Amino acid sequence: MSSSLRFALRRLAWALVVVLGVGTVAFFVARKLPGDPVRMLVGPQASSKDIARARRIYGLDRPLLVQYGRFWQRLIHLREQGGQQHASCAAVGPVHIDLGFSYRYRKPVVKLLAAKAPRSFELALAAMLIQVLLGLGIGVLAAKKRGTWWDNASIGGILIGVSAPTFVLGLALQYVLAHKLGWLPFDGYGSTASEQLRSMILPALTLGIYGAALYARLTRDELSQALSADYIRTARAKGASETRVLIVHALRNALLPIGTIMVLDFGALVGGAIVTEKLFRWPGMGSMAVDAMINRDGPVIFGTVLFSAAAIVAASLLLDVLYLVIDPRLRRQSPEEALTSN
Amino acid sequence: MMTRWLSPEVRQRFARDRSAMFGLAIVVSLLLFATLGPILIPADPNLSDFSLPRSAVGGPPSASWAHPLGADGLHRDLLARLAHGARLSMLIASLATLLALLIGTAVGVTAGYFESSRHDWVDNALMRMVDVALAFPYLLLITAIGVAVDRADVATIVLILGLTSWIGIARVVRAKTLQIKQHDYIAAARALGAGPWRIIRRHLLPALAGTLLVIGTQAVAQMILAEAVLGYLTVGIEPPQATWGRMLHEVEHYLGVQPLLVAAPAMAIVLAVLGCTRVGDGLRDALDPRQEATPLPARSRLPFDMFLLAAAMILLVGFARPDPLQPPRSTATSTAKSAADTPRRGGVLRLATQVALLHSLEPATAYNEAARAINDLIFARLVTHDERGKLVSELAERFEVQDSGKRFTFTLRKGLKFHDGTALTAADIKRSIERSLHPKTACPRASRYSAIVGFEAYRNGKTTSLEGLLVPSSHTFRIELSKSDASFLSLLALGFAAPVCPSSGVFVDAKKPVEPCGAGPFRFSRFVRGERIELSRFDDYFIAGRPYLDGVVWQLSVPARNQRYRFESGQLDVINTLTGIDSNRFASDPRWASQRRWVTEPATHGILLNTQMPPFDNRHLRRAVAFALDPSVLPKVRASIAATDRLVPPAVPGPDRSEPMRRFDLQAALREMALTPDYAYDPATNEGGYPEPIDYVTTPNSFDQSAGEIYQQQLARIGVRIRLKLVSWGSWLTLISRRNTVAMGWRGWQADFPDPSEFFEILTSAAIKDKGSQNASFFSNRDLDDVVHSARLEEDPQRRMKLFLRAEQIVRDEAPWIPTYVTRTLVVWQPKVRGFRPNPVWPMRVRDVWLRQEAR
Repeated sequence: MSSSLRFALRRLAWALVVVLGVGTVAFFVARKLPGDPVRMLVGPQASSKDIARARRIYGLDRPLLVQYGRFWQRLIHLREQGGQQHASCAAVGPVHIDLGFSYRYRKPVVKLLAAKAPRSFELALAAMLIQVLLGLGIGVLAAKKRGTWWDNASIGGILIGVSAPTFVLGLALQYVLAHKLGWLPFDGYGSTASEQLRSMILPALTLGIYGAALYARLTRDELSQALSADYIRTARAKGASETRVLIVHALRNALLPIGTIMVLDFGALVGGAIVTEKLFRWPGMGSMAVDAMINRDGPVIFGTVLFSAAAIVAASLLLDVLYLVIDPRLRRQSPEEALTSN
Repeated sequence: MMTRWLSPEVRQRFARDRSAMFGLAIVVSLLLFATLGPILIPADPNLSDFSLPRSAVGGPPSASWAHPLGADGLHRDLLARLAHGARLSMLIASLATLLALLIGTAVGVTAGYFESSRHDWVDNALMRMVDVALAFPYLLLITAIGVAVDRADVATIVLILGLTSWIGIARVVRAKTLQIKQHDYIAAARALGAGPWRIIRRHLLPALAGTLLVIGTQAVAQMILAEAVLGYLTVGIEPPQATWGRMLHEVEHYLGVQPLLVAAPAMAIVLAVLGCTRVGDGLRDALDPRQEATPLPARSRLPFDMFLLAAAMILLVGFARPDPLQPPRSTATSTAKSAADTPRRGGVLRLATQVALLHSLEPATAYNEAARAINDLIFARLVTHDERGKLVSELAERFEVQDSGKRFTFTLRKGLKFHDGTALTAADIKRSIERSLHPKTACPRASRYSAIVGFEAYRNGKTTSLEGLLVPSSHTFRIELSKSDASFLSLLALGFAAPVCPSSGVFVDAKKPVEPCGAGPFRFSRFVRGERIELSRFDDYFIAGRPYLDGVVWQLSVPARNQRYRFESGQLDVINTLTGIDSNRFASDPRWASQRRWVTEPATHGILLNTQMPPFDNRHLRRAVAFALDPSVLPKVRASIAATDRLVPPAVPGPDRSEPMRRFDLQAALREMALTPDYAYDPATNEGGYPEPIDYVTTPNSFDQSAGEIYQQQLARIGVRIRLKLVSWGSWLTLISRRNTVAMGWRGWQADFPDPSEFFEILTSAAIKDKGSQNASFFSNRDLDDVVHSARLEEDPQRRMKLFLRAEQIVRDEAPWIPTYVTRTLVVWQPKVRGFRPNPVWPMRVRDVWLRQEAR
């Protein structure tokens, strides 16, 4: 166990380094974007005097490296001696997290993330559900009816789904389901729980159909391969029905690669599905990140990138630990290697 | 064991796979289309033909013999663009794939080779680098790079896509390398003394070739998709060049109006992706003998996806009819009852705006279209503009102008109240203006108020009170100016001069926003960030009985297309953001005649020419450009555009407009070209002209991008070639304000209040700075300065307008800025919305609106 523990700790330490690396890249990208946030804030009619004053007020006149150093210094810190809390901090007991102040929203970035992250999380969860249900369903069906009309139609249909850019799929769904048929809201989030649920369907479906294709193909291929294995022949010989063979015996073995991709996908989705969120005006991390980019809101760009990276790293960390629990032989391999070298 | 990657068996297996062969057929036909199409199709993909009539619904020209697929929004042949798009899209996808394969293979093989060797650290270092890259959100990364480079030629797009896509490839290649490494022949080679480089080159790479081929084919498909997404996120290829992604983005809003326009590039993308995926799958099956144990019968049957696609295409092209525009949603019979037309209280008016980020409604600092419109309802001012754009008193009962325009005395109405119930007196007006102009408040137009006595001392913190603001009694307010300013009264109609509740503080702290609180007809009630703003009636508004509405809800960041959808389904009561095509349709439908109005914006758009920087430091070249431009075609691209030839837009009372200011005259332009030192141009031989392409800086997805693509065609006729450089709005603002940075670009200017002086201030030499100049043409002209200065002091309106006419003429003759178009907005409202008369300065003023009881 000690070697496993050491492995887990090493992974954890490395995850922190990765987040640090991403943070550094993001910081300089955010600050080096051409265009002046102050100019955008005060508008085209502002005179240069008014601009200079605004720049001082927003604290953007300090040198870049000072701003960089100050960022890491403040990111996670303990409550200060004087007990005075910085306005942009979020306090978790004595620990303060500070991602700075958004120029544009004039709110602490931590608070913005706290408001947006749950939206992306919900959407990710719903999309994942659709992906897995639809993907596994079609995959199993295709594998069961191998070589028939069903197999052809389902796999062929889903291929079209992945062959169109997400926004085309989204636009088409929106046009048909919301505009033509009027079944669902066009976009937005809604204020009551049922409205929110209904608003979620279109973006979740867009993401879901796109992802389902991947799962369907993977499931079908994994199942087809598993079906020719010896233990399946044994199961059949013992009189198990074809459905039982498929679901209980073959699918169980296919779950490892599918689960791996699921966890990694989920990590990426939590960070925000940029195009889909933008298209459906979903108030999540993705649309906030794009708006921040367009508006040169450095602290928000930085905060969202850091958060997304943390989500992705956390997902792969989770996988590592799960693998360790499931199969210690895999501990020298990363999840992708386990996938590609099976 | 994929060494035999092009052996006869593999080829045979591939040929037997009907689905893969279908894929291959698609890919080959698309390649043929890309190579031969541009040669066989006579139309120029980048040339507009404005002689083509608009389609029946007012959209882009429909299909005809000369243009089998019709034309796009800029009247360019769609088929030709599709063919050129095929060329560029596939070129970009292939090059980017090649780059990604190169990097991915290099990293993957090297890492794989050194794994568990003496030099394990190489593997570790490379893979850890991959970890960081993998943790970076992919789309965010490419958007960031796209925004950062501000230039989108083929090479840049290839680099962006290639440099961000190698990561997955590297991981797969490494895993594969680990497998191959275990074979005995590698061990044998090593035992024979082969070095790492030799083993990689002679053994590993050939063994990987099959895998790379499969990955590569599938990567091409992904790259085509990624390029389309880049276009959607506005960092795609530079116009006028066509790629499928760009084309799709350009026509997105015609969905539901002219479906074919959207279907053509979308189908091209789907076909290409499907073809590549099929070929990739086929290759994988053919190359991997393991699959033979479990033959996949699906692949040998007919490819169903193709049938589905063909069916979808036939359905779409054959049966898709444009959505008819719905008639107004209310029962026409109820208008008969006169009772229905007496104002009544109640109801909530639902509005929407495209503006996404409304960070604040703070009147002293907020500066965007949406905030202005909403603030107009929350904050009352001393004076305001009426329906004809005339200044009238609001909180002031009356006002007097004395001392040749240097003293203004306002008598306030009695019993005025703020939303929080406190009384509004003259002292509150002084306090509020001082708050906006406070040294710590980032008021974007503070300098405009510099004529007030004691302004400098107050702004510099030397005094705590603004000397020129006087409060002789609780209902008398006086302003004294140090020099007369003919347009000063208009400044008091702006939000910066709006009285705010005493609780709002003595200055605006950017980090501690306060709830908006004023004395307007509606009070702020709720702000759901990024979603909507809710206002409710202020019962103590100074006009008894107004407003009629219980409240107003403003939905935020609703794209134009969805606003129309919502309006048609009755979820919005008024819309003023319509796409060009929808404006056309509403404007031409007689059923909507009494429910719509065009509102011309007090803004002028045009081209800035930097007068201090080559090549436009040459006056003749500037004049040549001015003569060669024909803005009259611009309204054909978008109905909400009107061509103009002068600086002061029609929405602003200006100088005499009976004579045209400038004419389109190609011969005059060529004569001006001949007057330049070396750039004389002969259109017959296409010789001469300005030798280098000139960057035209504008913002993506704006109408001005389309205008730029048209300028590009028009200026080519006098030998001036321009390249569109699309930068974000923020970059544009920064770039044009720097000396010697932008030679040519979009320059638009919106007046805060309808007065011609608003359009000349930016051209006065006083505003020239090295950085942060408002005078983007860096134009300095003594005569113009004198004329504008005299106009500022001139009190007689007629003489004042004559001065502005002279100013317009100087600008025309020197051509630092060439006005080309003005914008107007079509406002459409539901029949139940009564008493709505869009105000030219404050278009969403709904104080006097009531909602008719819906007949049930």
